[in-house]
Amino acid sequence: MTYSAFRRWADVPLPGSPMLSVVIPAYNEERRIVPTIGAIASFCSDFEPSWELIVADDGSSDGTADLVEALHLANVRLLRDVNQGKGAAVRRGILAAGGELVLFTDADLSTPIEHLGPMVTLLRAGGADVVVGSRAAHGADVHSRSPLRRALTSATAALSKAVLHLGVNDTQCGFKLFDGAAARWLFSRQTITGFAFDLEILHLARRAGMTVVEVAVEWHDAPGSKVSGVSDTFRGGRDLLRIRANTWLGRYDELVRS
Amino acid sequence: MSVLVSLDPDHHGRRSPAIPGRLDCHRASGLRAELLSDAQALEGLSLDLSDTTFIDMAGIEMLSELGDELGAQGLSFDVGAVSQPVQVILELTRRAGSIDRPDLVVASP
Repeated sequence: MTYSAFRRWADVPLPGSPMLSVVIPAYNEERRIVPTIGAIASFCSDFEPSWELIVADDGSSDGTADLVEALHLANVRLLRDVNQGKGAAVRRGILAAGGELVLFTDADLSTPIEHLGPMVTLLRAGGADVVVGSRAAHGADVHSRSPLRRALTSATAALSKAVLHLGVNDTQCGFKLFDGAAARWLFSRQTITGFAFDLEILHLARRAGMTVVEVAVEWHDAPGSKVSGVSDTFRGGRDLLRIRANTWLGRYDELVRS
Repeated sequence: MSVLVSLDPDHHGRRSPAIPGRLDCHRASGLRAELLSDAQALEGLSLDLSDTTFIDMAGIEMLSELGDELGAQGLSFDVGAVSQPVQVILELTRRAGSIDRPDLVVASP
């Protein structure tokens, strides 16, 4: 790794569209956002010189957005908006992204950014439109996941398989890489803005005939998770039924044709 | 000998506690106790973070507090070597105004 690559990225704006966009949705992440940006910037500046970072602030009431602004990094864009949910923040970030490849990653960086490399290789080889980081795939290295989060992940995967027939074992891991055009196509058709937005995006991808591949990742439990057991389970179940209802009503077929 | 902190001699034969892997909230408090003990044995601490892959705010605060505590005991403290990710994180953390500790910032290579 070369420090000069980071300095160049930090100081010199890219002349055109980037090869890679990294999107971080952020809600009240003042404790985590700067180390997360640092780790991503260190890796990506060396991995792909043409890249941008987009922080989609979801109406944080703490100093998250101000900290990002204070960094004065040439290729970081901060999108501020009122609080609308994680799905809305990710959508805003991805629709603003200009990259040929688009990664979204959670602000807690539970999956180390180094896992981007193999996912990009897979996507560039033409084997996938969407590469999903997975804690449930063979070879995943999961550290300290709480029983609640384990149960939520398993329940969501089981429900999404039963109700939506998604062939993905971990729909909720916040580390997903998209072909840029596919990402913009999918997120421009997204209707769910809450926690279960991933399910709708993967459902849309499947209905559009895109190839979705799961890749085992390392995952570290981060304290201060925004997942709250009962209410998120309830909202997730409600969103799942909305996706099912939209499917029955043919709304996704209309969206896929549009 | 610490189980979390390697004390292998460097190529100059000095012993600097090294912290490989992640220095995050899960390790910070356990490491602090070990590093305090190492500092007393070594009569000061020059940390080697060249194999540290990630440091979060808990890790940065632990180092900052450790520096304060060792200073109060009259022991020296500095960070002798850092990996690039840690260097960038420390630089951005200082740029954002979250830390103001010269002993946690290593000169650019």
